[in-house]
Amino acid sequence: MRIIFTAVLLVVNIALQSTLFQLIAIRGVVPNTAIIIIVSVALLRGRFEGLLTGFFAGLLQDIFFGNALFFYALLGMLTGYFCGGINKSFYRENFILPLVLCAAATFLYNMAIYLTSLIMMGNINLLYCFLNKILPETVYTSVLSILGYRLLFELNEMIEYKERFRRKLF
Amino acid sequence: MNFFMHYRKHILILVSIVLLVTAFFTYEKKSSFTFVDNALTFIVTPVQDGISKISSFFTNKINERKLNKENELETEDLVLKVKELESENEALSKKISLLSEENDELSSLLNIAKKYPDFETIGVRITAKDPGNWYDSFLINRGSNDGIYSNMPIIDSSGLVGMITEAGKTHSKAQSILDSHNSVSAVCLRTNDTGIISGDYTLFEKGLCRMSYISPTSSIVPGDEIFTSYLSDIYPAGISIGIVTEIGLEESGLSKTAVISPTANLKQMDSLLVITNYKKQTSETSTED
Repeated sequence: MRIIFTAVLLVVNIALQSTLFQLIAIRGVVPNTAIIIIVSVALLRGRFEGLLTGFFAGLLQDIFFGNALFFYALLGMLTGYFCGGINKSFYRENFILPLVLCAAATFLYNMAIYLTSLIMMGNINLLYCFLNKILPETVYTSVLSILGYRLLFELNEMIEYKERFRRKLF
Repeated sequence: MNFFMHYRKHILILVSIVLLVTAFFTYEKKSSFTFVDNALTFIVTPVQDGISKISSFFTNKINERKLNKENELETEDLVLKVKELESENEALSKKISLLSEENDELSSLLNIAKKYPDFETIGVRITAKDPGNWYDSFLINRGSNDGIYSNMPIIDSSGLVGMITEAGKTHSKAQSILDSHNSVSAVCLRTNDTGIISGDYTLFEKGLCRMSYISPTSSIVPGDEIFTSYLSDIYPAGISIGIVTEIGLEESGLSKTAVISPTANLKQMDSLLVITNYKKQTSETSTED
């Protein structure tokens, strides 16, 4: 149930990201909703599920748009793992932490892309990339994460409620 | 499970290294979709198709509204302009007859007139675009079932758009000339200067690209039109790429660089043409790997 739900969520997300979200781009910057999903799942469900969600979210992007197999999968996996690490030590109802984590994750994610581009191609201006790509995407994504986390939080409550109900029956 | 929990950090590091190594070895090597890729496109692309059709429907509606309003205002201005232009037109038509003679001579030299009609093209539609902000790749709705393979050039009605990087059964991945992975060998026909056009991070958002390795003594000026050169294995010669908007000298002083504004409308791409018959080798090489 949960697996199917997350899989559908990821497929719909990659489809939306590549089509509809291009229309809400601000100055050519599209928010990274995949990171919102990874961070939210990791915070709500812990390390292992965060890691798996991150891996498959990244894999989808690799297959459709990436230049190297498993590159985004690796980034997503690590994001999910590290965000899941603090799953036990805070209240789920806290809505500031996901925002901060999303900002940090988006920033590091983009820095990793920047560094690999630097290694593979060279001659890329860090300040320009920071001001025009990394910073706007970080801000946009973290602002959207307030909404995204709230949505996933409610969905998670719903699924958990159903699971509890099922366990009582059997 | 206990074992996994105990060694989870070691396992994570090991898996990360394996993934990184595969990423490194597959970097820009893939030219056709694997079985997994094709299976996933089968699931994901119908969703993308649906969404992109719906969204393009609505953007078209909105654009129509805007256009209608603008049109009403414009028609009044246009009536006046028509009269001005009519007088200019007469003067220009004399010039054209002179220029067309010159043009015939030049194009027969370059064989462009011969080459253009020979292209066999397939019309394709864009279904999805790269969600990241770093590269400019996109998916199109045709694949090897329709005779599309990797390294085929993509054009639109006015100029060069890019090339196919990976071909799947029903969909394929493509890269525009604004993507920093892509480079095109180019020539300025007026001055006969050659160079390489490639995507640039700083110009990508503005929809421009950069031409580098131009000879420092060249007399290239803003306004010159740039075409694909005969040096490329992928792109046929004589396709319009763009117009020079800015000229600069490289820091080393050894070559000039130019900022190119593409003639193809790369910001609002919808339907494009793929040239399928330029090189027979492309289909053979792509089936090999």
